[in-house]
Amino acid sequence: MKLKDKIFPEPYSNITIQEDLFSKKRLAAFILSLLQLIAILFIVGSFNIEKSSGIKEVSSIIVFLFIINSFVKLRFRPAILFSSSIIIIYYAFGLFSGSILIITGLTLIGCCHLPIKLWMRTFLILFFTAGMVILRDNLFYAPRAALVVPFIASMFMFRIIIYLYEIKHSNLESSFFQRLSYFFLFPNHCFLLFPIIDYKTYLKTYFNKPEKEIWQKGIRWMLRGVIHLIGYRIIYYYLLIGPNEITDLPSLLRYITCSYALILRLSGLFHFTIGLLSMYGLNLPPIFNNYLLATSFVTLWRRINIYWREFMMKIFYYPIFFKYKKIIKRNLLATTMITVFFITWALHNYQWFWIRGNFPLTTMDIAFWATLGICITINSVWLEKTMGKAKKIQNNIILYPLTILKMIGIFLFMSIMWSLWGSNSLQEWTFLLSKGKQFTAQEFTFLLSIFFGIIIIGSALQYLFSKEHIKKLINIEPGHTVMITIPSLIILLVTIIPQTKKNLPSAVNNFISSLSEEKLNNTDKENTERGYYKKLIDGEKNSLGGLWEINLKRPKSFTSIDDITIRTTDLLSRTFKPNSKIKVNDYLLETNSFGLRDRNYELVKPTKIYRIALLGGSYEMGSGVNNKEIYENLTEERLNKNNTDSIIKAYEILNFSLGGYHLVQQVELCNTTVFKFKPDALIYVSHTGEARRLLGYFASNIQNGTDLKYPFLKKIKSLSGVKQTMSKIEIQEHLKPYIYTIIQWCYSEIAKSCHLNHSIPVWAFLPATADILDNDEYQKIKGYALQLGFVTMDLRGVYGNIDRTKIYVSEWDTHPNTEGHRMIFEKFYSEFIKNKDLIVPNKK
Amino acid sequence: MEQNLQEIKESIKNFISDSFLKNADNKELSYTTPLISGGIMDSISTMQLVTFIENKYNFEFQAHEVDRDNLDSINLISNFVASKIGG
Repeated sequence: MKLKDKIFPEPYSNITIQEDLFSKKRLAAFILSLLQLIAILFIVGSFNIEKSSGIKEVSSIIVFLFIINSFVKLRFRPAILFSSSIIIIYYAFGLFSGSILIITGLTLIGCCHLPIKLWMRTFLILFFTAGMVILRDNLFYAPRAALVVPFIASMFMFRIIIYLYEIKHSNLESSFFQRLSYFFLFPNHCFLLFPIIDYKTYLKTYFNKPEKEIWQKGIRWMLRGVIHLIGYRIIYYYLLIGPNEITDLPSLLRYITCSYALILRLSGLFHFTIGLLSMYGLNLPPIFNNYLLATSFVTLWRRINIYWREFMMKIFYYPIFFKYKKIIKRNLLATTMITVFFITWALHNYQWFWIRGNFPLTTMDIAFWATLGICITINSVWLEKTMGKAKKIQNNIILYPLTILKMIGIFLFMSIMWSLWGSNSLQEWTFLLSKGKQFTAQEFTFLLSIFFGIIIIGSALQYLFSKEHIKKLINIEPGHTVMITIPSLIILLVTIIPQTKKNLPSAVNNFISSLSEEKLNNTDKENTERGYYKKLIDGEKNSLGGLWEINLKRPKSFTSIDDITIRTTDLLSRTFKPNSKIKVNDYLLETNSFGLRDRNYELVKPTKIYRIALLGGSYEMGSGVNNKEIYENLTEERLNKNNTDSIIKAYEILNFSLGGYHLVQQVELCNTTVFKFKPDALIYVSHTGEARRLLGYFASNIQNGTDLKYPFLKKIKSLSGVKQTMSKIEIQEHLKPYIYTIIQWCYSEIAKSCHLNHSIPVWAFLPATADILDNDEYQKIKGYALQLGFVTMDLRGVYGNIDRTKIYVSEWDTHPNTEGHRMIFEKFYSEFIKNKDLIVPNKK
Repeated sequence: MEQNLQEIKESIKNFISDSFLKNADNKELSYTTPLISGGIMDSISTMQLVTFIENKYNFEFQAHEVDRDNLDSINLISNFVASKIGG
């Protein structure tokens, strides 16, 4: 056997016809598919779809390798697929981390083929897995190695189980590179959440149809994925509301149905991924099958993430069923299903651990899977009992509306279950559902008319699609789907190419522009996290991101600000550790001997020093930037640089700010700490959303059972009727009517402390980078400040007209970066100078 | 042996028609009709078929044998059964 044949044997494939690579017909099909692929990747890039995945950055590699793959002989193509993965790994991770990933992957594959018993090979793999668990859990500090663990896990966590199963039970022959490329599938490096591709299916579908058909299927699915992802954005940006915006039945329905729409993002990602693999010859089966049209729990289970279900059936359901058959005589199906759903829950947690680094063992998670498992089990048992019996209803006039009714029922049930899964507690969930009791007659009538409208339209469509000539019209031959894909691509391209989009109405252009950026919606800006898949896909702001962030080739720090703070049981909740220094992601956070994020000062104010205390939150603390870059520090330096005052030798600005501090904490700081330093002036920095922020933090204080200390706050708690056992949303709901009273009280306390200690109170208003200014709120709180004698500094307009994303710390952290702090400093300094006569009176 | 194989095919065909196709719109069933991949049989009906075959031909399936390679058409099922009973 020639060496070439040994290294590159014909791969396992059901290919029936091997076309002449350079025939006119094939070239035409290839060029059509290539142009469509380029168009789709261009659309993905222009819309910034899944930007953090890095798919845009590797688009040219994908296209280049598709061309190569299409013109080499079949025997070399698995090697091309494997090479695609290696190239992208080195591009994204760099030489060192990339090599760790590749070597670890090859080692794991190698373990599967060692000439020892299977249980020994499995044990060896578990041994390596234990090592990766240690790295994933940060029990051992090795950042460059730990960086690649989630990516290795994503490649192997399920596929190695299937692979070992097939080694044991089947004798499929596959080429060396087919085995490697089963694990090293390049889209997996962009998307950690990846479909569980079955090994046997992977081999059997490799070029098992004419290339043109597989390529066009790939294009269709990628396009479907893109449309799902754009649809998800529309829902996420414009339709989804936060749980604290639910007030009645219509808003509750909006919340739960739009929350369930998150699944569009998952199906979009998976369709895109599988479609992309199709371009390289993997004619994989569908992964979702119109799950939104499911009419029962069992059909939902069969349609939603089909690959997961097939994996569970093969690896767990059938083996467990056969095992139980020997010992259980009754309820065999039910017992097996319940066991399998328990394993499903466990494997979702297992997946979460590898991708996110912790286990989400929450009541809501257990409740979700338990309920779903029970419903599907009951449905399955009922199906088993009724199988083979004639249908009771044969009349289509009843059958069609009944089908739609079932669809609506399953959709609403899943929406409710999804809201359960995404809630922080059972109390919160039941509180939100209780809002469904609020509705007017008009609203109820409107909802009822939508309900009946759906049934009528759905029934009409079923009738229509039952006709043979309509069926022929919609069941397009696979080779003719260009009639759909090409016009769809053209429509999408028209909206983004400058030469064509200028002819569109401005409202359409604005709408398209808004969809072309990846951003947080208003609710998520308030750090409301939503559900298993959103957390899994998006990650935390300080955790490992997608390929794009990895491409920066800088290892992420695994420390968080929590490592430099001390938890307290008082109203402050936490303080900085003194004399500490840590690296948080890309910035250095240092504290002085008093536990302030600031340079060192004397406790006793030196003579001829004008001392200012600064009270704020995460902006003033400088979240995301180094100490020297914080606007407070820049202001102090500039004041001293430009100081020509003969009486004041220097200025000091003592920064008492910490992320999470709000008005109640500022009051506590004033009464315990600040005036020990005898500041001559005190600047409290207010931000957009003052009421909303205070509501959130104060609700947390109550929920944590913190001693409220001040009689006023205790009275508010009593009047509002809040209880510690309530969910945070419910507490906020009760506190809402009192929020401005609390703000006023806090301002008054700060002003009183200042006057008692002969300090000038100053109120500065700094807009947050991502918030929209509520002018009514601004006028209200400024009015409080003026009434209480604060000097006011107005930093509105600080960011000018720039693209705000340019001054964010990162994609998902809207705190101002270095440039943002510089802009704030200029405005802050300018306002300070404008009000200097009031803040620094000449009496000194 | 050919006669046995034909008997097996007929027996399985009848079982599938009687058990799973009563309510189907399309009741046509050939020896090559895809059963699992074509949506005629699901996991519940597959296990019912397995139980029927085990009882009728007196052998036991292994869990890994319950897959499309062995059960996706009457021809495949019959060949598998024949290999198991040595027919």
